[in-house]
Amino acid sequence: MKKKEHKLKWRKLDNSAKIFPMSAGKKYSTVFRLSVLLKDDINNKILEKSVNLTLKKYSMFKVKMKSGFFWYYFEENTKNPIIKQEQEYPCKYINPKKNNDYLFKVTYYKNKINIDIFHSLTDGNSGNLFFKEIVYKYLELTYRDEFANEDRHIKKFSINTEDSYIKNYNKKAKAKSSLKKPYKLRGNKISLGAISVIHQIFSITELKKICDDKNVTITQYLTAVLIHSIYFGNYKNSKNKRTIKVCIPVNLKKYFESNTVSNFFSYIIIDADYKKYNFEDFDQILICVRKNFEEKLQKQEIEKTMSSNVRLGINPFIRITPLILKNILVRAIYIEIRKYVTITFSNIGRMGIIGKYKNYIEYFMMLLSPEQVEKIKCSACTFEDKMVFSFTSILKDTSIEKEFYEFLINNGINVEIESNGVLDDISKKN
Amino acid sequence: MIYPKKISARKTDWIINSLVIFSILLGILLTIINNITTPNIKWAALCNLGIIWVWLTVIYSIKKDVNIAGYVLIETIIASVFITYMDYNLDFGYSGWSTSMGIPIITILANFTMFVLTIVNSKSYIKYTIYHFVLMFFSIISILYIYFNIVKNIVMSSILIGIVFASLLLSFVFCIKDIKEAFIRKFHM
Repeated sequence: MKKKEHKLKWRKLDNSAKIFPMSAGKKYSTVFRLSVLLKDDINNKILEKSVNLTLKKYSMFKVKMKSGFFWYYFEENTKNPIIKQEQEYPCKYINPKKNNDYLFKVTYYKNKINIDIFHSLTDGNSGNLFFKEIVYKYLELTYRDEFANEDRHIKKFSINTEDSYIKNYNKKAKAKSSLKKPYKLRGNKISLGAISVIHQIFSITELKKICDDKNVTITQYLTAVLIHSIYFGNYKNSKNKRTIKVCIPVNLKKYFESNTVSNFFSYIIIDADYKKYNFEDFDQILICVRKNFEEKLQKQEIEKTMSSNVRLGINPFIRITPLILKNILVRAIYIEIRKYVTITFSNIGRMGIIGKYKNYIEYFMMLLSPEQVEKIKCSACTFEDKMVFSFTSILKDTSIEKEFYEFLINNGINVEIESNGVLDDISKKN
Repeated sequence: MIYPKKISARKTDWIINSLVIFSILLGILLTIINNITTPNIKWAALCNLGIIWVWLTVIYSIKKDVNIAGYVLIETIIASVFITYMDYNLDFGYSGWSTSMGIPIITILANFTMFVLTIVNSKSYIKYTIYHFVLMFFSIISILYIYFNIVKNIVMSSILIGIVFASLLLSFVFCIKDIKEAFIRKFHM
């Protein structure tokens, strides 16, 4: 009897994901990392099993990227992912050829599990779901007796996930784009492509108390502290007094209906203009940030940004352009677009872990890949009472990180520091 | 520590600066030796080009994440064959400079490149040990040259033998644990 051939499944890239493979490369990886610090050391065999089991449920992650004539697309990957001990710097470009064609990479080091995800695959919020499932599976397989009676409901995510951008696209919504170039962080870069990682860990309760007093949200407060740190650590002594622009990614699932585990995010840009606000006064920065958030974090405004981006992807002229030409055009255009931001700060929020699983976890971390244009990127995530604010940088100078640390300490927040030791002066501070 | 130990930016800069200074001094020294010993044959120019070539290859490979060690080895072999051919087939008025000067200098440079790579890729000592082994065979050829009196000037060959064995030993010291693990994995019964 003839064996029935397995038909490989495939799907289109979502509207946002289309851009990343065309613009990504060694210098601009568009990779983000999620990490968890467990209480015990990692067993690589169990981790491998956990990843393979999770992929059965999350088959939309079990894909490789292929190039079509007009667009890239995802095709089912029949190989198993490679699980390795962490060696490289975080958020480095994922070379599919060296990774069994996968667009994510799971690594471990002592009691830490990392997942580096290429942004075409998904965004931070959905990547978080996949990663948490790996962690749940790992804990269940490691502590079998403890979780024997645990009955979690696991949703299945097939390879075909909806494109929520197209679903929620509004033809009439048009965004005004600012062509004013922002302030660029200055300084010498670290040699040989190294990336510095500095985590600042503090209590969310302590921070929340201050935010309540100031009547701002945690993200607003941390954005203001970041602008304050950029001002004293990099901007103040510079002759260039352009606007500091902070890019804040926004989870669109909070504003629009969506079932996707693919990308569904947009962003707002916080403009901190030195001519309008006195940066020496933190309260002035806070007023500026709050005003920006109130104006820009509105469904209508977000819809405008999102729809403008979708419009590009569905433009008939762009659609009929062969991929080989698109690659050249998009790369050139995207290098320009990226120049309109000083820094990115992404707060992924609370990592909700259920029941007894919490007892085995110290905290979670999130990292974004810095690049030639945005030399520092920041991210934050919270687990229980611990918030981890992370800086990934290719700058030798750690003044911004130090200003941030000192500001929090001076405002009564206890900060613990962890780093990867590339810029060893700050790691000795702890 | 929640991250694998990486070489700090300060140390990396120190190593790069030291190697740049070393390369410049080596270039100057070779030019001086060349002018004193064999002023008619400009072999030092060839060596200096080799130094620049090694730097370009290292920078390129680090940026492009390619297997530089393999490239360097192939380049070492090609360059050695090339200069030996030039030495014995073209009339420079003096022969034997390829075995006494050229090949030892090229191999020393290749060794230094491997050493830089071992330091930069601090967790991949074992990967480079194999290349150090191949370079050791090169130096064995130099020993044979000295033994059979093929080499007239043994200074460079002697330096080469010393450097190759020292760096092989260093690589072993760095990766002894990895080698042991690899043996257990490959030869388990």
